[in-house]
Amino acid sequence: MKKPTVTLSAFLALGVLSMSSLRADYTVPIADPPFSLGKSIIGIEGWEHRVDAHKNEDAARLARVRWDEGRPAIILSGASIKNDFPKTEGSKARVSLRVAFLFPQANIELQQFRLLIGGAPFPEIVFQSNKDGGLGIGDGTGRKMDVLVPYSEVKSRSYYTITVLVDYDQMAYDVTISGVKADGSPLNFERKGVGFESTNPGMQGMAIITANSVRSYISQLSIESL
Amino acid sequence: MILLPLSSALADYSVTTDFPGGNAMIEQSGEDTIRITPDLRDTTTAWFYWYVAVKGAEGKTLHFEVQRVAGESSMGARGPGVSVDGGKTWKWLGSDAFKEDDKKAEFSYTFGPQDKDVRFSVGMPYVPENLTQFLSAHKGNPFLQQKVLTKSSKGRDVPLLIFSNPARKAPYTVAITARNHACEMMGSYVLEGIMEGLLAEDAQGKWLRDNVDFFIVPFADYDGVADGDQGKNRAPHDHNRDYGDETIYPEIAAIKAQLPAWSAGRPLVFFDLHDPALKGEYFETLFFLENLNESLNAPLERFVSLVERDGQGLIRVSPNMIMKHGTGYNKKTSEDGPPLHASGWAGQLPNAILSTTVELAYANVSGYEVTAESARELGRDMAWALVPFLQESKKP
Ligand SMILES: [Zn+2]
Repeated sequence: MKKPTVTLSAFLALGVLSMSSLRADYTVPIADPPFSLGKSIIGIEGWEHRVDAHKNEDAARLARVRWDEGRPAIILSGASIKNDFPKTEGSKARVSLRVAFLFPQANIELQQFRLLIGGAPFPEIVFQSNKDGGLGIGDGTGRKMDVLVPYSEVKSRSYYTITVLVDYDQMAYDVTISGVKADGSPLNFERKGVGFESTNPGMQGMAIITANSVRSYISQLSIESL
Repeated sequence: MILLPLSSALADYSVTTDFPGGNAMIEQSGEDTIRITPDLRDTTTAWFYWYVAVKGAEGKTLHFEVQRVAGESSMGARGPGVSVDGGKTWKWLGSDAFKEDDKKAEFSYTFGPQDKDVRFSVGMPYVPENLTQFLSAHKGNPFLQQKVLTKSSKGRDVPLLIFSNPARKAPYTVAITARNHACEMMGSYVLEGIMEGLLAEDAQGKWLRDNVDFFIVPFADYDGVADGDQGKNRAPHDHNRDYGDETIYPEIAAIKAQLPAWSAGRPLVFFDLHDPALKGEYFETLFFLENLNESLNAPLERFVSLVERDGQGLIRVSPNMIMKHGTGYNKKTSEDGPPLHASGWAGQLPNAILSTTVELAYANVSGYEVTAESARELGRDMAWALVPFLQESKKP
């Protein structure tokens, strides 16, 4: 990756992990309310600009999605936002995301969507639009990723449901990705029991960073203690 | 692919252009090879439009050679458009499906057992029948009035579509022309998308129907579209160079007379929909051309940024898709006299608040595939962006 826009350490230093919210986990519906159709999500349900110098008010807006039967989604473009939700508790936690990407099929530069989750054993969920990329798990630096769905199989403007179930007792997590492949056939990816080493269970705080050329749609996002 | 001549089979299939939009000079070379050359007719420069039907070739594999014209390619970035339903729907054969040298592009096609009539073209032809089919889905819609703009040079009725709320006179007006250059068919799908957007049962559609009257000329060179002309660079000048003082085409004379009267001083947005040349730097993208009237620059920038912000189509629009005045092929100056092209003419109207030529590539926009569907989606995005654009503009 040429120019990482953030590293996990920079991300931690920005104070993403501060305890500023009283909510348990993050289970806010992507709907109006709590957000407002046609408006930025910034300032609502804990969403903030990640960097004060980069306040693009159009970067994360709630809209009805025409090609998803008018269901609402947060549409992201050139976004750099964060949400300091409190730490998950207990021995299991689940991250669940329904996301779609619009990207060109050719002449693409390297462009990324990154969902970074503080303290997660999989530091980030990444979509990278170049031939070595795709949909997968990143190492939190924006430089290395484990591609789970290769770029050539990701369908532009089509939703993927990604679930990561973390078991702190077993010290392992399961990833599932479902949706439709670029050729229209169903995609049901599953990887179970990915081991990790951590002495500090729980996930806390997230950031979303998206390039201008990869328009992203999030219609569901939750991080829950189980 | 190796083509084996079927010496026992008779060449009992036919290759024709005797249908709306048809264009080509056709030669058969041996049993299985068809040589196609765009028919320029009264176009004075090399151009690339061709559209043929192959009938009765079920089960055969035929080889096509599409000739260059004066060295210019007649094959788009994703190969030929192919339709197996008589031109209702189209697909690109694919960028890997043809090869090209400095004389011709070549591709082969294997006809299925049902393929009685397969259409091939440089693009995805859109003729009056396609519009009729689109409109039939909206028959009886009280917002839509199908009128006749004028008689064409060849005596045909030229359609004019007025979309307006019968209950009230809208505060804003939008006028759209397509096919000032007859062959530029992808613009017609953009137009369908805009019309879908203003008839849609979403918040944007409702607002548009309540606040905007639309004046739409789907085929500004109606004869050219019906007859399958290139249209572009027609002698003595083409329809998009006919908006000056010496108008010779009845459609353009009618637009110039009727549109200002119809808009009646209300704020007017004008879009003229085009496709550029086939391949290359300026041509495999999407451009919104800045107007000669500089006061319309900032509104264009705002409109395009709203398409970018709210767009949900398959082609991502961005503000660098504005072709600034004096750049690329957007180079006419006020010293060249009054503008001869549609959006230039409309931009001089005192009530114009936005006027632009939209140039959508035939097949490839910066890596995004242009198809009938993605072009319609671009139209939907433009319709959506009109809502905040007009809401922000000064109240009439
Ligand atoms: Zn044109």
